[in-house]
Amino acid sequence: MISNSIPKQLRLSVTESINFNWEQSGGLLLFSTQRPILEKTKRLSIKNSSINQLKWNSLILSSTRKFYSQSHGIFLSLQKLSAKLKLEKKQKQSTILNLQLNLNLNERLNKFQSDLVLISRQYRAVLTEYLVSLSQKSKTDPNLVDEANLIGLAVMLWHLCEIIFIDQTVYVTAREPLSNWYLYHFSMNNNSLRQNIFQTNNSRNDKKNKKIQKQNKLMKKQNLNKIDLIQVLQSALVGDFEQVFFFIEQELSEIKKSPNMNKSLIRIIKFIRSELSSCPRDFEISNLSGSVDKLKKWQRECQQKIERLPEFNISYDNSISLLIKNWKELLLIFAGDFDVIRQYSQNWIEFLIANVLWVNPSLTIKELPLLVEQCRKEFINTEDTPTNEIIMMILKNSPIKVIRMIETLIASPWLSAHLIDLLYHSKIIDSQKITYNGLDLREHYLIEFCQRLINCNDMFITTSSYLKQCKTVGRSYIELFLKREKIDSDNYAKKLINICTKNDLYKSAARIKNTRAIQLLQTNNNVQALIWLISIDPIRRKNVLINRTVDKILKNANDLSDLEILVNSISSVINEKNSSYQSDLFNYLSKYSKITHLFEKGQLQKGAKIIVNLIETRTLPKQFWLTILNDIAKLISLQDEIIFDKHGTFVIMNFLEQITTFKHQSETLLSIHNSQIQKIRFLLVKNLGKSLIY
Amino acid sequence: MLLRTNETIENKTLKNFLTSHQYLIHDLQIDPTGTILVSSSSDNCLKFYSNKDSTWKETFTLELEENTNIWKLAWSPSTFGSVIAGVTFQNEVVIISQTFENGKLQWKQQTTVCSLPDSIQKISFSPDELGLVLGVADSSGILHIYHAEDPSQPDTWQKHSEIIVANTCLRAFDWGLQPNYPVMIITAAINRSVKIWKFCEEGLKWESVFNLGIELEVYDIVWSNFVGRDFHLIAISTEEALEIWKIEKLKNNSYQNIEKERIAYFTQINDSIWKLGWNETGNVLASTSNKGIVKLWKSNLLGNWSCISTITGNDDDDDDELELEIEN
Repeated sequence: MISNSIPKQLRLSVTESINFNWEQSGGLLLFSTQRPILEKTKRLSIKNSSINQLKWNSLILSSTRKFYSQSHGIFLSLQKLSAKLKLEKKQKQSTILNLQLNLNLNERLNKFQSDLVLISRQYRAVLTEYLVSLSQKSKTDPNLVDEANLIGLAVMLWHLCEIIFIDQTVYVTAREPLSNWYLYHFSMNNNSLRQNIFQTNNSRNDKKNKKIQKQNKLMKKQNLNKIDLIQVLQSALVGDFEQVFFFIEQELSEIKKSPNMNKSLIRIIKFIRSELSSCPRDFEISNLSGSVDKLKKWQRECQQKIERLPEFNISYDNSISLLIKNWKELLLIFAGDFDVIRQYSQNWIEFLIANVLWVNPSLTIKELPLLVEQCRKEFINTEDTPTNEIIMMILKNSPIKVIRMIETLIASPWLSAHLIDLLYHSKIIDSQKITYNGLDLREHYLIEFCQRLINCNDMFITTSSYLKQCKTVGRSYIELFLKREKIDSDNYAKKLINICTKNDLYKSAARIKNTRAIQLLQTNNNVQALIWLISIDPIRRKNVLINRTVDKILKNANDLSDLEILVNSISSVINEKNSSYQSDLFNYLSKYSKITHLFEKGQLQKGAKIIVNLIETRTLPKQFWLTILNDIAKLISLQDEIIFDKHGTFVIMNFLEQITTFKHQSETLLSIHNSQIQKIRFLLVKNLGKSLIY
Repeated sequence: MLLRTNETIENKTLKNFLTSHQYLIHDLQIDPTGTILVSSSSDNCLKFYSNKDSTWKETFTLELEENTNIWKLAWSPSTFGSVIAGVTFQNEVVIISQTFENGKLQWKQQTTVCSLPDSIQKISFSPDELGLVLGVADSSGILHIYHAEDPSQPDTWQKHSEIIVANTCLRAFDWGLQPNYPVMIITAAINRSVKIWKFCEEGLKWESVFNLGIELEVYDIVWSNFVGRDFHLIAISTEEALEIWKIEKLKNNSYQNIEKERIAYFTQINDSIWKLGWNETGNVLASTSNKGIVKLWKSNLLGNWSCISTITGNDDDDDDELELEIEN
C-alpha cells in the first residue's frame, strides 16, 4: 500500500481515486486521492486539495424548523388522542355489561373520527403555511423553487388522502370534495401543479388538440379572439364556473368595446351566462337525493335545450355559428355526454372529475376505484407522471402503495411519516402486517423522517419525542443519536439526561455524565468533574477515574476552603440524587471539615473524638496521616486543658507505632520525619499523664 | 474534481471548499458529533475545520513534529473528548488531542502509541464500552489493541491485548457491538479468513467465535451500527464482488449456531472496491473503487439491495497521469 522508494521523476500512471467520508447529517465528503498512497505527492492543481460536500435534501430554513415544530405538536396530540381511546376501549372490555359505558364509547369513537379529520386539516394548514413562506422566499432565492414545488405537491396529495381515507363520514358522495380538491389545486392559476399533472405524452390528444387549435384560430379571425372557447369548455368540464364566467365577462366587455359591436353575439353570450347561472352547484349532504334530482332535472333541461338549438346554419354569421356550436358542446358536457366529455378531457384525472360531476353525480367514494379504472383505460396510451400515479393509487384506495410511491417518487420523509402515522391511527392500515427489515412500516417511515430531523440544529428533543413512538427500535435510535450530540454545557447535559431518564436509558445517562466529566477534567474544572462522576449510578461508576480526580483536586487544593467546597458539593449531589458514594477519602474529607468547624467553635474535645474515631476505624487515608498528626500536636501543645482522654491518647500512640514500623514501606509515610514523630510522642506522653491524673 | 451523480431525484446540493494543504489530502475524518473535521496531508500538518450553517470552514492548522506525515486518521468516541489517532509513513501511531493551555483548549500532538516494524493497514477506535481503546492492524497479521489508562489525559497508552489473526497481512477489521454483549471484532486477512472474535474479560483475551467462510481475498470490511434490529449487517468487498451479510443477533449468551446469510452480491468487473462505509444508521452503504467511482447501496422495502447512486469524477480531465515528485 505504501511505497517510499520510487525513483524520482518517473512518469507513473497512478490510479486517481475518490475517497469519501459520511457526515452525521447523511451527506458525503469526497476528495481526490491516489492508490497506492505515496508520501510527498505534491498536488498538481488546487482541485486536488479540495473537498466536495454532497448533501441530499439539505434545506433547513427557519421556516422549516417552525414547520417541523408545528407538525410535531400535531403529531403528539394525535398520539395522545389515540392512547386515550385505547384506554377507554380497554375499560369497555373489562365492563362489557355496562351499557352506558358502551354508549359513551360509541360517541367517543365518533368524536375520535372527527378529531382525526381535524388533525388532518391541521397538518394541511401547517403545510400550507410553510408553502406560502417558501413561495415568497423563492421569489428572491431560486434554490427554493424545487422545495416549494415539493411542498405544493405534498399539500395536494395530503388533501386527497384526507378526502379518500380520513373524511369518510362527512362526504357521502365524491362529487363535491373531489371537484373542490381539483379546483383548489389545479385551477388555471396554479401553474406548477398543473404542469406536473399535465406532463403527459398523449399522442391521441395531440391530434385532437390540433383540430381544436385550428378552430380557435378561425374564431380569432372572427373577432372571438379573446375568449379561448376550449378553455371555457375545459373549465366547465371540471366545474370551474368561476373561470367560465370570467371568460364570458371578459369576452362581453371586449365585444362591447369593439367598434363593430355585434349585438346578436352579445345577446347570445348573455343568454349563455344566464343559463349557466341556473346550474345547481352545491350538494346538500342532508338532502343528497334532492340535490341529485335537482341536478338531473337541470341536465334534462340542458338536453332539451340542445335539441332546440338551431343546426349549423350557413346564413348565420360565422362567429355566431361557432359560438352556438360550442354552447351545444357545453350543454352536452353538463348533460353528461360521455363522448364530449372524453373529447375535451386532457388526461384521465380531468375525465374522472368530469364524470363525477356530470355523469355519475351520486357516485360514492367507495365506488371511485372502479371509475378510476375506467377513466384510466380511456387514456391507456398516455404515460403518467409520478404525481398522477400517486393520485391514482389514492383514488383506488391503496394506502400502502401510496406511501411507498411517495417514498420512491417524491422522497419526502415528512410526508411519508406523518401520513402513515395518521392512517395507522385511523385504522386505515395495519402497519404491523407489513415489515421492512424487521420494523413495521410506520416505524420505518418515522425513523427515516427522524434521520432527517436530527440534522437540524437543536432538534434532538423533538426527534427523541418522535422516536419514543417507535416501540421496537426507538430507544436504540435515541441512544445512537445521543452519541453524536455535542455536550458543551451542564444545562444541555442535564436536558439530555432528563430524556434518558424518561426513556429508561440509564447507560446513555451514565455516558453523558462521564463525557461531561471528562470535558471538565480537560479544562481543569476538577471539582465539577468529580460531581458529575459521583452522580453516575454506582454500577456504572468508574472508581479509578474518581480517585484520580480526587487526587488531582487535593494536589491543587490551596487551603481548607477548597476542601470544604469539595465536600459540600459532593454532599449536595448525594442528598439530591439520593445516591451513594462510599469512600474513605470522602468520609475523611467530610469529617475533617466537621472537625475544623468544631475547633472554630471551641468544641475541641468533640473534634478530638472524631479524630480518634477516624484513626480507630482505620478510615484515615494515608496521604492525610501527616496532616492529622500535625493537628494533634498543635492541639496538645497549645491547649492547657486535656483534649484527648486516656483512651484517645492510647489510640494515637498505637497509631504512631504503626507509622514508625511501616514507614519505610510506604512512599507517603516517608514524608513524615522521625523528629516529628519524636515530638508528637513526647506530647502524647505528657497528655497521657494529665489524662490519668485528671 | 467535478462530480456527477446519476440520481433521478434532483434534490441534492454539491459544494466545494478548498483546503490549504500543499500536498494531496491523504485522509479526512469527522468527529462523532459531526462538528469537527480533520484532514491530513504530507505537508506535516493537520487541518481542522468547523461546521457552521452546514459549511465547513478551516479553523486551525496543527504543525506536527518532524517526519510525522499522517496518511490515516481515526477519531475516538465522543465520550473521551476530542482524541485523534494517526498513522504515519514510519509505521507509528500518534495521538493528537486537545489540552487546556493558556485558558483555552488547544490541539497538540501528545504521544506515540506504538511504532511497529510492519506496515500498518488500518486503525480504528473501539466502541466506548471498552474504554479509550485503539485497534491497529498490521501486515504481519496481528491486530494490536492499545488502551489509555486515563481517558481524560490520553498521553499514556498501554498494550491492552492482541489478536494473532493470521500469518499474512491483516487487511481490514471493524468493531461490532450488541447491547449487553461483549464487544466483537471482525477481521479479514489476506489468507482469506474472515473471522468474528469476542472479548473475554477474564484474561483480557479475544476468542474466535465463528468464521464467515469467505474464500476470496478481502479488501475491506465494515460492520454497521446495531440499532435495535434483529440482525447485524456486515459489508465486505472482495477481489470479485461486494457482499452484504446478515447475521442474526446474539441470543441467550450463545455464540453457537448463529444464522448467517449473504443477502447481496454485486460482481465487480475489472474494478475492485477498496473502501466501504456505512452511514450512521446503518441503512446506506457507500463504496469507492479503484476506478474512482463512489456508489451508494440501499435495500428497498422487499429487502433487495441495489445501487441507488453513482458518483464519478470528471472524465474530461487531461491529467489522467500524475507526475510525481518524490523526496527520498
